Amino acid sequence: MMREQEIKKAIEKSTDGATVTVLKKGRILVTVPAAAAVSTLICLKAVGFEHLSAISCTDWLEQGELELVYHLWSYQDKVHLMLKTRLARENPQTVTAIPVFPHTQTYEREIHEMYGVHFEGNPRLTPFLLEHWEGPPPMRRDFQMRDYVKEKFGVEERIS
Amino acid sequence: MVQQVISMIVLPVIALVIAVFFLGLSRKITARIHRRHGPPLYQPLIDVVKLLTQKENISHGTIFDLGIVLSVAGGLATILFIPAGGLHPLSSSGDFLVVLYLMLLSPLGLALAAGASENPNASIGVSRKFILALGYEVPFLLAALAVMVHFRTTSLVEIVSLQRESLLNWSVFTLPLPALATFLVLPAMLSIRPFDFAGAPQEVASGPLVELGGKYLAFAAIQGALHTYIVLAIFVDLYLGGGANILTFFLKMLAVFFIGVCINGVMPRFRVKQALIYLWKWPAIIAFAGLVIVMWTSR
Amino acid sequence: MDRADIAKTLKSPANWGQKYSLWAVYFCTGCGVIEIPPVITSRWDAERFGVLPMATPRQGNLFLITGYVSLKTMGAIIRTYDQMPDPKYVVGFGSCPVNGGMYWDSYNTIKHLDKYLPVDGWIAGCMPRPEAIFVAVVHLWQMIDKGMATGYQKYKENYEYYERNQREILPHLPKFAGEKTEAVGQTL
Repeated sequence: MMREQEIKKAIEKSTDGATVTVLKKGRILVTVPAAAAVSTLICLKAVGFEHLSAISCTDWLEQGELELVYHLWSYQDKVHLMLKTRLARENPQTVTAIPVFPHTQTYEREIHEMYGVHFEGNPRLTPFLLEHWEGPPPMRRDFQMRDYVKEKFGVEERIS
Repeated sequence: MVQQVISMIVLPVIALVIAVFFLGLSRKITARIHRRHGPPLYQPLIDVVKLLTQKENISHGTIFDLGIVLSVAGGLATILFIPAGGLHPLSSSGDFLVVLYLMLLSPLGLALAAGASENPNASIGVSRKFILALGYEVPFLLAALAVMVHFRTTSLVEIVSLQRESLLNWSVFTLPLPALATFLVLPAMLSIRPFDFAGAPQEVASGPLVELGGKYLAFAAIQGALHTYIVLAIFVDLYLGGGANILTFFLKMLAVFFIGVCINGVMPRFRVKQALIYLWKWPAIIAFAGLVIVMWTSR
Repeated sequence: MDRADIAKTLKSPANWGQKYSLWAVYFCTGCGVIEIPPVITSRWDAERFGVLPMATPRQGNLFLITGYVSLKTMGAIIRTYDQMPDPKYVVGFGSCPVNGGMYWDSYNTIKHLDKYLPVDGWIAGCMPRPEAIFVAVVHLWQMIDKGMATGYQKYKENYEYYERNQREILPHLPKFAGEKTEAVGQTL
């Protein structure tokens, strides 16, 4: 736990507005406001978190927010860090992390397609997995999946 | 005269039967090497019947059709010049050179058809095939030149008859270095692993055969089988004393073929650069050394 | 196996050839293809049935739709199926082509393969075991013998029905090779 506490102090010193929690050995959670996400990524990369594993998105429907989670891994300390930011559900916008980690282009493309988040600066927010999609972003929790499926693919009557 | 005409008709039939049998035998032996049962020996016959009875044959134009016809015709024409046991319908002095030229006719026909098939995989496969041919022609021709100089003839029938008297007269004992060089490039001439990158399913989607279906694929399979027969027949005629009759000829071809299938069953595939480096290095050196020795001793 | 049945062979060599030489197009459409490598390798040898994997649709006459079919894959499957020469057989492999399977309420997978392609047989399971695949091959032999494996003819006769269903889920599917729609650049 010593190393995690040192990392926590280093992160708190180099950023402001970041809330750092050490969950257990090898797990750290950092929460920042949306505008500070990319600059915090730069600080974290300097502290030793050089590998971005993935970016995931959670839809907090009751609170009216989308939460972006950047999963980072530090090879030298073997610590997994989650960087969480919240965006508003209507017209979610944030800045791309491509200058920090170039491969975020694909994760942001997927989140743009599935949740509707716009990443300013990503040159390739084009259709990815869905084929000529015309509906709302499908991974949002207010997407009526059963109704959409019934309408698009039809319903087979039960033979009873 | 009549005997010549009869053997001109009989020899291609015998060659086709042997060639298709070798196809089935290779699949069975490969399966047994892999410790599984494998298809029955007459499976290529079933495959050819299926391909010929397909209701739709997708063609890509006249050159596509003619290329396939040319490849099979070239293969059958080459067979007429290679003595097989007692059958040598069209043999004369210089027929070995004719065979060396005609051998290229059937791959050329297949390349024409592949070029007409408008598929980039086919073009890549054809270019790989020609690079392979460039690779194995160097040691093969050096060794063949050594054989021709040693026997002072360019006729395959004379080469066979000069090895006839006893076992020790076989070229594999009197000309060991050219025989070794040709044996080392035999997998490349047969297009079996490790040299089957021209028609690799995983890399180039079957190469030249990518757009062939139905009866075109049946003829391409027959052409492949005939090419195997031609290469094995040349090897047996040059280095293993031909055959007194068709049966001993067939048994010698079977022995060489068996070794080839065993090599094919256990080896992976070379890259193009690796294959070329291999073919131009030791086999070429050994063939050249053999040629120098032959020219020195036969002054 | 009834390969040694000479009378049946002589009655219809075409059926004999089509049955014992089913070359499957090695297009791995979904996650179900994980069961195909065990089938074609040494332990459960499919070559003794005459079944070989082929790299190109021009050489294949059996199409195994393994696993779920997303909309993007459906376009590729239709194009591949159109390139195969007749006679060709389609076998739905796993429970996803049958009724959607595990992804029955997914917004991006088709639920009934039968509406878009003519299917000759189904193999139930998630995933079917190799033994089930061999039972299906033997069933397909019997169907070919009786002349019941006529999916390709049904496709040609009822092409308007299939094309209507295909365009319902894939509105930008180009017609036969050569026709360009304005949205051709968007698929993929």
